Order: sequence, then structure tokens, then C-alpha cells
Amino acid sequence: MNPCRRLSAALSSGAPLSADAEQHLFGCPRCRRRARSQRIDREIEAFGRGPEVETAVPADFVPRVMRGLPRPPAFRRLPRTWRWAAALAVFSAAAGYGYAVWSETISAGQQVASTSSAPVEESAFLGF
Amino acid sequence: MSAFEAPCADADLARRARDGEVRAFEQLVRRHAAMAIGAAARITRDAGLAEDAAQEAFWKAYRALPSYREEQNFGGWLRRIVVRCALDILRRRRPETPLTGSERAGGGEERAIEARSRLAHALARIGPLDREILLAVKAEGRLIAEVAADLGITAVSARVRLHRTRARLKKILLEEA
Repeated sequence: MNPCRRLSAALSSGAPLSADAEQHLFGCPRCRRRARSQRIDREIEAFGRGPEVETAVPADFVPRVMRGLPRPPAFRRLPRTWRWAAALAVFSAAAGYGYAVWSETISAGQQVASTSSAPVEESAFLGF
Repeated sequence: MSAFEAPCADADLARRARDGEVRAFEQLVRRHAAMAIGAAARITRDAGLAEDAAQEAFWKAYRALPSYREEQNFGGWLRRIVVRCALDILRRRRPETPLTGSERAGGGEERAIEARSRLAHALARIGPLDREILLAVKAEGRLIAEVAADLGITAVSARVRLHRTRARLKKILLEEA
């Protein structure tokens, strides 16, 4: 049997390689590629295999998770109905303030108009 | 909870948690802690790392609650986050410095950890859906039909994807080797 076939058989069996096989592997790029490919196949297959890891939920697991939770923003902590009420209150306050400013501006404008004399009368008074 | 109180559905608890009710999220953690640690352990092969991954996954899930849709299976949604966290932890553990001769000769376990972390790195370069199928079948030992149903694809499509993903993973690992 040629050394490449011998090595291939040894790799497939999964047994440790002999010194001769190791030496051949060192000098033969084709066999090295094959060996690498087989090793990767084994690694992919072994990913989910192996002895089952003993797992249990430790007593402090849930408190630990809860302690580490990121704090939600204050607004999100409110119940949904309260969030709507808060939004409505902010909107009403803004609308009320806007109306107050607007009506004050209008009434101030009217007051200026009623107290100041017309420009024509003013020019007549000055003798023009 | 009193004996007469019906247990809440996961989706309902998730909605309440999203609305800011921390107690509802605590119930979800209690309900799914064993599944999360178990799923992470099948990937990390280490109980301590599995706990860390599960814990991180619950924090990520809490932050991601606004993106959770109520018609989704909460357990499946959480499992996907757990798997991602477990893979991240494995990737972070990848030894940056080459092992010395004695370490290389001595540790079969060390080699296994190295192999797992190499795989985790390669898995990061694969699309999320394909990665999920491969991990669910290979790492979690689930049936392909069950995984396909969970992801809303046909079993045939899942099988084809699994085959292609395996080939792609091998190619990536060969390139890296």
C-alpha cells in the first residue's frame, strides 16, 4: 500500500499516527490537506456531542439576573393608561400656554391701536 | 400566586414586562432559566460559562422586549438570544497567544476548547438563519423538522440549508487553518 493510502486509513481509524505516518504527513501537502479536512469534520460533528454538562439553576440565579437588569426610562415605567394621560396633560398645558400668549398679544395690539391717534391727525396738529 | 390563579402565558408576561412591570419579567426568568442554562451549556460545555451566557441573554432579551412580537414563541425567541450569547462567550475565550509545546501536548481539553472557539468564530461569519439551523441540529440535538417548524420553513429547505452551511463552515475553517 502506498504511504498516502496508509495514512488515509490511519486517519479514518482515528488511532494515533505512527512515527512513519507523521513523517509522511510532514512531507506530503496533499495528505496534510486531507488530515486537516478530516479533523475539521470531526470538530463540527463533535460540537454538540461529548459528555452532558450537569446544569442546574443556582438559587441566586434569578435575583442576580433581576439585579443586573437595565433600568427602563422613567416614562416607560408608567402603565400604558398613565402614559396617555401624561401625554394629554403635557399637550393641554402647551396648548393653554400658547393660547394665553396669543390672546395677550392680540389684546395688547388692540390697546395700542385704540390709544394712539391717527397719523393724519398728528400731522394736522403739527401744521403740515 | 394562589392555587386558583391561572398561570399567565409567556406572551402576556412579555407584554407586561415591556410595559414596565419588572415582576412579569422575573416570572419569565424563573420559567425559562433551566432551558437557557441548558441550551448555553450544550454550546459552551461548561456550567459556569453557560450560566454567564444565560444571564447575559436575559439582560439582552429585556432590552430587546420592544422588538418581541406576541405571536412568536417566547421560548424560541429567547433560545436564539442564548445561543448567540454562548457563541460570543466562546469567541471571547479564544486564546490569543499560541499554546506552548507542553500545553499543546498536555491538554486534550485545552485543544477541545480551542476547537470550539475556532468554530464559534467561523459560525459568526455565517448568516443567522443558517447558523441557527446548524446549531439547533448539531449542538442542541433537535430534530430538523422541529427546527424547521420553529423557523417557519419546510423541512426540506432546512435540510438543504444545513448541508450547505456545513460545507461553508468547513471551507471557512480550512481557510483559517
